[in-house]
Amino acid sequence: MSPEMLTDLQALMPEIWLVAAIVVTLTADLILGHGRTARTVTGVVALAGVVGALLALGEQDTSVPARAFGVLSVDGYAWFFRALIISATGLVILYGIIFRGLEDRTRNEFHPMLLGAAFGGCLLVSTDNLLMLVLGMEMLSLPSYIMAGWQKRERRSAEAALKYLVYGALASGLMLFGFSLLYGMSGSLWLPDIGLAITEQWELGGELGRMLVVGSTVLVFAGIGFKVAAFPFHFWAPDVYEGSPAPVTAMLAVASKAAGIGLLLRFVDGAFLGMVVSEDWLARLGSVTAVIAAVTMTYGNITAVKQTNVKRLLAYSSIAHAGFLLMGVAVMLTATGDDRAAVETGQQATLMYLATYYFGTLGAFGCLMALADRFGAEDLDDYEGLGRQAPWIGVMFVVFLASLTGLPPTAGFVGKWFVFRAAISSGLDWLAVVAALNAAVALFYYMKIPVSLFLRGGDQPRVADVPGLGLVPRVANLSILVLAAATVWLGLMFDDLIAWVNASLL
Amino acid sequence: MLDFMFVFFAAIALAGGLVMAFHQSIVHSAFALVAVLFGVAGLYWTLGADLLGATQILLYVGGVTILLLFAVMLSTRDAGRLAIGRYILMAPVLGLLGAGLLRVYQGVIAISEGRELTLLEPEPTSDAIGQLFVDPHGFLLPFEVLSVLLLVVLVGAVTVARQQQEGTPDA
Amino acid sequence: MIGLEHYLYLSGVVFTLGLCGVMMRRNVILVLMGVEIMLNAANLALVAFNKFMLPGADGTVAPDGQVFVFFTIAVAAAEVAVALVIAVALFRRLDTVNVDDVANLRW
Repeated sequence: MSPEMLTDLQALMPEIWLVAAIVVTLTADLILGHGRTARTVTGVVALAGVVGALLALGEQDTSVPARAFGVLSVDGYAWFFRALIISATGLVILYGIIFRGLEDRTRNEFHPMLLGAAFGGCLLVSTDNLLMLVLGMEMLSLPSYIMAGWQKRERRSAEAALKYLVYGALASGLMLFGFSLLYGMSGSLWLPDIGLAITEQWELGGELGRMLVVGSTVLVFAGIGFKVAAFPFHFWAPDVYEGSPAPVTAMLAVASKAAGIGLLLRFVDGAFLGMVVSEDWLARLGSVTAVIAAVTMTYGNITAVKQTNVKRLLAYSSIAHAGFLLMGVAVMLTATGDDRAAVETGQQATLMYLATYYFGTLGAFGCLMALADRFGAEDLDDYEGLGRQAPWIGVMFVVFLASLTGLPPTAGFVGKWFVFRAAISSGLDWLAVVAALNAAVALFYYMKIPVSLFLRGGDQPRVADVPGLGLVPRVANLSILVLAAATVWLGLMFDDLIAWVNASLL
Repeated sequence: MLDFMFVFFAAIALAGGLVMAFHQSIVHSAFALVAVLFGVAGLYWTLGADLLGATQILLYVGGVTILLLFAVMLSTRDAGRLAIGRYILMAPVLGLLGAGLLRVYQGVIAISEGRELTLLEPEPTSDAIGQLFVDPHGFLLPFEVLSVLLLVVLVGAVTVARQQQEGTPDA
Repeated sequence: MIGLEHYLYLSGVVFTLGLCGVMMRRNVILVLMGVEIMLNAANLALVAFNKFMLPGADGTVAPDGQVFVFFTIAVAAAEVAVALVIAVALFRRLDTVNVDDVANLRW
């Protein structure tokens, strides 16, 4: 084995950990059957794989971007997204172990699905090769389709899986067709080459060349828009989020969305911003993205207002958050000329927002699951008075919701602040105004949950389905507590986060 | 000869596509899909991609369509009825899409001008493709990723299917 | 004389037919067949582009596009396997694979 290959493998260590965990959990499942021991072993192995992957990631030095295997680009940017995706997967595995909605008989096979999806997400955000993009996307999506239908006793779960699969397959078909056009234009599968070809077509190709650029971009963006649930391609999200088992929903809302945003940023940067830019083209693309961002967040928030199922409410709010994330992308595209600083402002805003969204959403789903598990509560009505019975969960839920709204002492405020600042600095004032109105709407519906938890309901205590807590639920609650602490801490001390994000810019 | 082959396979693919998209019977549609896939395989062959054409026939025609036919048999009672109302709704949308695609393709044609298929070379492509699959800077990593993908997905599919068999429906 | 444009026009038409299938059909399996046709159109375009690519510095063309198609074929097979399982699972519960009948979750 050549030393070169060894370096390549080292760059791939986190992914190798994930794949090793997949293989070991499958083998353990095969040997040990479906008993209690097997469940313990597979759970521990899956978590060990995630921890190993995170440690391997921690050892990586990404100050100098490197390439691995000719298709991966190992840089700070990939590092940032891989850290988000892998750690989110770890938490989801923990949630999955305690979540009672899953059948014990199939719990062992659930871990390889999650790890596989994480593996796909990691590849998706570290590659700039079209083939690897397709493979990463499918590696992320296919296990997700299966996981969405994992609770086969639940009719909603099977329907969610079907809906996710149909729209996902359609989106990947559109995206693949877009890729074939890009390949035809540039003769290459490598994003920077494609960027050159796009610029050339737009500048020299005349009207037809422009049609070609617009057509392929629309097709590719449709595929990515589906993945992040942006406006015209959002319609699958509420149903799939509601129908899927709660840990899977958390996975989709955090890891899958992070991977989609990672792909979008890399695509935008690699194909549109990396070379002599065609300002006219970028300005148009930027204003379209800004409009999509505005419509996405408005639609998500307005529809969330009338929801009564908490999971569905969070699903719509997650669509709205996709709109905020797209704001940063719009800023990147609106930055004209070779104004790299403006591009970085937009990128920084997106990454900051994503990092804060990560804590808020994972935590909120953790609380939701804890309440669903202990009290069987799903609707706002069921939540009445639960805050007094499970004060810890209740208070943490409020913290996460405050963060998702963007209230000051929490991380969410920092994220929102960066996005607003970026929008205003690049002249998208109207978008900032729309976003501010949206944040107000979000405050209204998010606060319905704490109101139900603490202010409504009689004094008679609700009988918990599960009287006592075992070890694993305690660990899971502890991890939620850590998330809550991080949410508040990052709201006050965000210098580290900014430094981290700045080190991760493309 | 080449012209004839192109026209032949293209006609098969087009006819299959038309039947697939518009025929009332789901089984007819499934067999029309076989025709499309076969036509495309033939077109690969005219493009000198012999290995790919063979793979298309083996994997797609032989594998994927069989799976789809199984799905049809296992899960469908109603015919693949067409929603006429949907036609009327979708017609403008599809018309716009088609017009847009045509324009896009005119763009493609503009960059592809003057490149003609001149001769049918029986030169095998398997060597070069095989090399790329094991080249660490070519497609080695995607190849390995694909194997992980198949492993994970098939285990997941089997798990869900097995649940079906063992499961006691709660109705 | 057959040139790149013929392949591309054909690919565009096949893609549109697949899209028609996806949009018009209500049976999930037919929708997926439409998607398969769209994928095939994209594959055909990839192979055609690859064939007509201008040679690189060493006078040859790397079969990138062809290799790409191998991967998409394999991925499509996996996708269909998943679809089969999910559709059959749903059918056993609901007795239908009609997209419109899956209305418990608001569509």
